[in-house]
Amino acid sequence: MEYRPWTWKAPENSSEMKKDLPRQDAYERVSGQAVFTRDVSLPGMLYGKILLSPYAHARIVNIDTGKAEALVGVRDILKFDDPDIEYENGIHPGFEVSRNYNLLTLPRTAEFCQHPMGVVVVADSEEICDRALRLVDIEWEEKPFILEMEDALKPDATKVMPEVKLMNPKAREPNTVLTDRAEIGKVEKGFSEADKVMEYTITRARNTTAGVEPMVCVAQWRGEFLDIWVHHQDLPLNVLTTPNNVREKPNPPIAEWNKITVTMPYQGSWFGGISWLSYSYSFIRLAAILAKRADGKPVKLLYDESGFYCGGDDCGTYKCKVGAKKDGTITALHWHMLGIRNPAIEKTYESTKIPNILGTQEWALINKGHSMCIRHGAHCCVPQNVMYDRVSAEMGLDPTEVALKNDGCRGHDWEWVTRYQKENEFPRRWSLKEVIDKGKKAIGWDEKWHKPGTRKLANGKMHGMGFVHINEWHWHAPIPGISYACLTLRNGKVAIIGVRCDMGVDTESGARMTVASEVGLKYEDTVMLERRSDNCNFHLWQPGGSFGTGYITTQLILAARELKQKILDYSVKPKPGLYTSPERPPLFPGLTPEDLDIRDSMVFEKTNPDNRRTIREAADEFWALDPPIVHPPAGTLYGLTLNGEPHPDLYAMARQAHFIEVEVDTETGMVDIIRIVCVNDVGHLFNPKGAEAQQYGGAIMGLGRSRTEEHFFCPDTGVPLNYDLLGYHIGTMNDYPRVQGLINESHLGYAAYGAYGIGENIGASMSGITTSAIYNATGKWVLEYPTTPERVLKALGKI
Amino acid sequence: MPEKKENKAEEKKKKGFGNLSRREFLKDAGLVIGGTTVGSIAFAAEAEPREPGTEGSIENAPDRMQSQETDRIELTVNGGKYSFRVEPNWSLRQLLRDEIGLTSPKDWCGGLGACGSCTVIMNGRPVLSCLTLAVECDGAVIETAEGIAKTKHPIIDAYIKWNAFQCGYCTPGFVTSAKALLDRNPSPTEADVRDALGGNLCRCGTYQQHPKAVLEAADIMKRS
Repeated sequence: MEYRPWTWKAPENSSEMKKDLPRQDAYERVSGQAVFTRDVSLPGMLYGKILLSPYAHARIVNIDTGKAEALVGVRDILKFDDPDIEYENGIHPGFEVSRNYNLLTLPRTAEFCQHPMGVVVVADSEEICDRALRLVDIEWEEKPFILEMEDALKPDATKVMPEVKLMNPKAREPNTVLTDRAEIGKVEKGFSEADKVMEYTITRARNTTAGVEPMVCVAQWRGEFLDIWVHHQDLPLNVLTTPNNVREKPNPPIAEWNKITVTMPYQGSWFGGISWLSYSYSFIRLAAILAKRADGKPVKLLYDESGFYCGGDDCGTYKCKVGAKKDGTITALHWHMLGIRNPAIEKTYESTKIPNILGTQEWALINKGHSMCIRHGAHCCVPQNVMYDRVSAEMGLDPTEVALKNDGCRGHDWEWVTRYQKENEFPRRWSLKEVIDKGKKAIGWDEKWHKPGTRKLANGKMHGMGFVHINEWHWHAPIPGISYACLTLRNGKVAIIGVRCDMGVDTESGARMTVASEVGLKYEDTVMLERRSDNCNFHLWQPGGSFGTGYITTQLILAARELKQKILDYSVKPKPGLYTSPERPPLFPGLTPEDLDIRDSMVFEKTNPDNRRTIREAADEFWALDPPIVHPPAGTLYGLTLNGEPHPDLYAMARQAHFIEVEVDTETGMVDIIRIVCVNDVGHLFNPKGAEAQQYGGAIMGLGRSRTEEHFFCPDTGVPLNYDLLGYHIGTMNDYPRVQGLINESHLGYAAYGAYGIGENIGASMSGITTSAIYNATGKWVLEYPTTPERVLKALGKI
Repeated sequence: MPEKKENKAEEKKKKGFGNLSRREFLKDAGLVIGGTTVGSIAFAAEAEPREPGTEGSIENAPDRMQSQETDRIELTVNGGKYSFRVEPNWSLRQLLRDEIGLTSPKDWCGGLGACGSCTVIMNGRPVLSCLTLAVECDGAVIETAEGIAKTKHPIIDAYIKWNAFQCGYCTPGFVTSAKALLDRNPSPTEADVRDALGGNLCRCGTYQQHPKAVLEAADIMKRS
């Protein structure tokens, strides 16, 4: 590999600079003046709302909108059979399995209760929309529904969605949309070599994003030009510009690519989820269609319940079989996954030396709504988390020992990885050992960990220690063509230009710090400036999403270095004449660029630092004649190949380890979390505050999935019983103690300076940790998530 | 598959009552919220639900612009005097956002009073503006996060310093709850802060930063 951004060294001044990186948009966010898409209000704006199905599965037989149309203030009503929306979602972005659902924006048939479908009303106010929707007269045909995956997978099950095309070639009638099998090594042979083979089943109930800022899109046409404000984690160009390729007569694009201006204002957190479903793109398309019918008036399309639309992709059943030797070495594993959208073996393969791994998968349509990764989901993490606990329990070992015993990369042991590190100019580091040592010390593991069910506290509760670990992910460098860096310099200030859709993870500060330290600027002389269009490629892809700073800084560093060289060149060249100003002598006459350096936004002579001038003095006149710097990614390294397989030359070498201390009340089943320690090897740390925020934020969400978050459905009607924040329990301030976050910097990532992303790791990897701690406390396994008090009592045999 | 059971709730849904918003429910029922009876007597007289589409039903209620059932209220918001004619079903959040143009009272939970994102300070007390009717606010003094920031209250800088926010959508609700706490208790303990902010949800999970920010703001206020 010739392109090795991990070998780049961060400037010395960056360590000091990054200690305090004020966020450029902090005041707006804290004072409530930040304008989110929900806050966008334009003159003459109309509002749009979509009907939500009251049935788990039902078809509209007849629809009469007469009364609604007669309501004062109703401006437009669009039904499922209107020619303007007669399209399918074949070309829209979104993951294949989820596309098997009927993801049309206004389908005639609802596939789950609260499915937005059938008809949309546009009116002068939200209230009138709501009122008009209730005036729509609908004759429904109720259809059979299935809520449980096991029921849907049965060969003789009712075909629950005959209207849905089974797109996957491995689909199987009546309802199975996906079957898959992936084997690495020889699993049966591995089991035969084991001293002990364990079998157990893990189930995870449906959880959801419950994301803030419900779905919204504002669209307005100026002739052929479309202005659009989106709440989304991706840029919606494809859905607006590409014709549908599914139907025989595809609909034309809605707008031309170079006539669309997209604004992504402040974004309420979504954590992926519905962002990656075709539905969310279709929603944007629908807003543009409605606006086109509104004669130049802006239309704000709202979907208030969207936070509950999409379930997590880890929800389902894992039937696990693990073989291990007495010393804790795992010889083989097989995970059979029912209803898990993605294969769960991915992370285990990436981050262990386990030679024999088998993943089999079945996934069927059910009437609970779509599922997608939310903060990456936890499908990859929970089976792995539990596996180490089961092996250590069976062999009487400390789980941290079992973790180290099996560490490696794609079947290779750590000796092999060390050789790989040497050959590719990585530091020789054993990340897992480092993060475990840090975490054990912080939580007092060696003093507190004990054999399961052996420590009763004075308060009558049982004491337990939990531990999970997995690799860090998003070790990517940028993908060419997706993300360019653009820097401009004027008046001694630098602007990083790009479309941003920051969910608040504050990639901006890390990016600004990187540019400032590379060029030699003061941090406050930089800014991330939003470009309100996405037809330029300066869109710093997902700057607030999964990939974060590690992803965008690689090309920013190259651009910053180019900028620094330009400033130094300008400093020794005669200053050009501008307008009526004559040409002037160089700022540093007789010197070469090599004689100069830049620090604190001042250009100075290395051997005579008192000879210094501001960057503005050095560069301003030149910049008027010079274009901004645009830099594409310099290489093509990416963690996955374009067909989704792990890149053959890249290995996930950095690890994260998380520890909790709990007290379990065996009378009530309540689990009190006493301490939480999260250790993440981020490779290289750009933004300490931002990384820390991902640690405590991810831990809270992960523990929520592990302990409380669960959707309930009425088995008789398929109606969700807690489709709102009153019934769906996300954690509050009083549910968790402080999370202690510790950072490790091994520089084992493939991005600039050896960085990894930390954007979604902990939320996924923590979601299995309560099982570990409850087992240590009680000696009983709780393998149904969330691990509610009822399930703890059930495991204890008390109910 | 279990046989479906018809019941009144389903009947209601079929007829289109399945998705009543809080405001519409209030309008239709005259409701008791948070221990306080809201709505006028005339309101209570309308409590019987009617068939949709019939005269007097909520669907056929007059449009906002045509309504005669408005009350004039006067209130102070962030130090400015305002006078409005409001419909009886308007929430305070609606008034602040749609009529005054403030953006800090947010809507996350859909007006259920479950998230705290719309919290404002009314007459010195934190209230959920989505569950407070505008007609109740005659003579009220309201503070929102924008107003708190305008007065350069130390809670703003403390929140920024401690990074007590991520996406920022729910943050103004925390800021107003925190400021109300400091107004009534200038020397709170961490437990006091957790108590006062315990009703505010943050999906980004920033909870542990809030006590640090509030306690620092209290400290700054004491020193100044």
